Amino acid sequence: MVKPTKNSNAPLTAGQQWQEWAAAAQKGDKKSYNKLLTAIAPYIRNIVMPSLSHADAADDVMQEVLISVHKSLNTYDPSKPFKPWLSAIINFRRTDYLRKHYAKRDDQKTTLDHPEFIAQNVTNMGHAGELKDIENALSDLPKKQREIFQLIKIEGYTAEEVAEKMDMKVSAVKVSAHRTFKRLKGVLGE
Amino acid sequence: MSKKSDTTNKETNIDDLIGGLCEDLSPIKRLWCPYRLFALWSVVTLLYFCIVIFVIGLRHDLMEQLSNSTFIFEAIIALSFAFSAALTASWLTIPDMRGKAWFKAVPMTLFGVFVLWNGIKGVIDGIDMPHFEWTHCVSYGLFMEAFPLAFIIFLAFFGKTTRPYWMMFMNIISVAGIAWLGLRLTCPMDDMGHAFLYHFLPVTVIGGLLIAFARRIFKW
Repeated sequence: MVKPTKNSNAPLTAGQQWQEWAAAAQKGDKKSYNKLLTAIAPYIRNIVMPSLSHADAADDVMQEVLISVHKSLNTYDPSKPFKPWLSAIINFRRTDYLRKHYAKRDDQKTTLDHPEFIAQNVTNMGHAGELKDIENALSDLPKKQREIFQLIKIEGYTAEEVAEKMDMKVSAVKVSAHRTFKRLKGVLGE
Repeated sequence: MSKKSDTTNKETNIDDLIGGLCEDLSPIKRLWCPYRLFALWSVVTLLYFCIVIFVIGLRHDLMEQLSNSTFIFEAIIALSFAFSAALTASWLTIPDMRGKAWFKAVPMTLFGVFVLWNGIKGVIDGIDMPHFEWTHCVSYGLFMEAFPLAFIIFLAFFGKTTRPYWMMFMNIISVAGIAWLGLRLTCPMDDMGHAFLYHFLPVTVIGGLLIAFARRIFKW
């Protein structure tokens, strides 16, 4: 539990509040636990954000940290400050993420509209913008249609596999993929 | 998809995750205090150690050795780094070690002194390296290490370490210290070549392998 301060009317700091919520969560109080996780999520994101290359990575690490907090809640001692305990988990998960990231060479992957990628892979610079056009055209599609198209035409799944995954008829999947293809052709030209 | 709807999707994902975790929450039994974990390991290991020594039998010149200051110094330092490493391993079961990260310096220093001492001894006395054979010293050493090592790793699983390599290293040197002392109490061969090949090398090889896989072993 949080040690009483000299001035007991003084408002609790964020750390002390989290300490109290964590103590209550250990007793099974779901409301306090929800408050704790909701409060620490942006804190985690702010801590990891400067050391990661993009916001999606920060969100991934934040989710990993939240799950780790859940798994290791039994190791927290409510008589001790909460932030050092949380920071140790954040550092551990961030290092873990970066290790995997560099092992997969994700740091060397670039997006289609990255100047370096265009310089290396596009011979006719006049068409460089088309890569972005394809991305934009895809993003304009309805979610389900885009998902089907991506699974079949980009990721290489069969219509049967996609139908099973999305709980649809095979014929409906094929029709959707075909329509999308035609629509993209119309938008982007032959 | 617009940036705004992307952000909304992410927020929904986080809210779903938090909701799921809260749903999964039940009253938690807190991890034992590290001192209790350490005490449990020490008592069980000492009991096991006494039984093993009793089964193997003490060296015939033990009484003579007990008046040898070098022998006593080595025994004390081995016990010191073994137990301080076990205590550090207990603290390592907690993600932030509750501010006790400095504990790591104690077994590391004692272990460093032990290695340095043996190095100096090796230089002064000379090392006459025998051919490796599977002698009783290797078997007894493994016998002395197996249970305490399995037990300390088992206890580590109750916690959630954020320093898996340190954890495994501490586990290894705590058990190595115990096994080294056990072999000194049972094996009458005091020359450095024998000690290096039959007392040090097996635990170094096993320890090296375990440390290499530490991150996988203590994955959570």
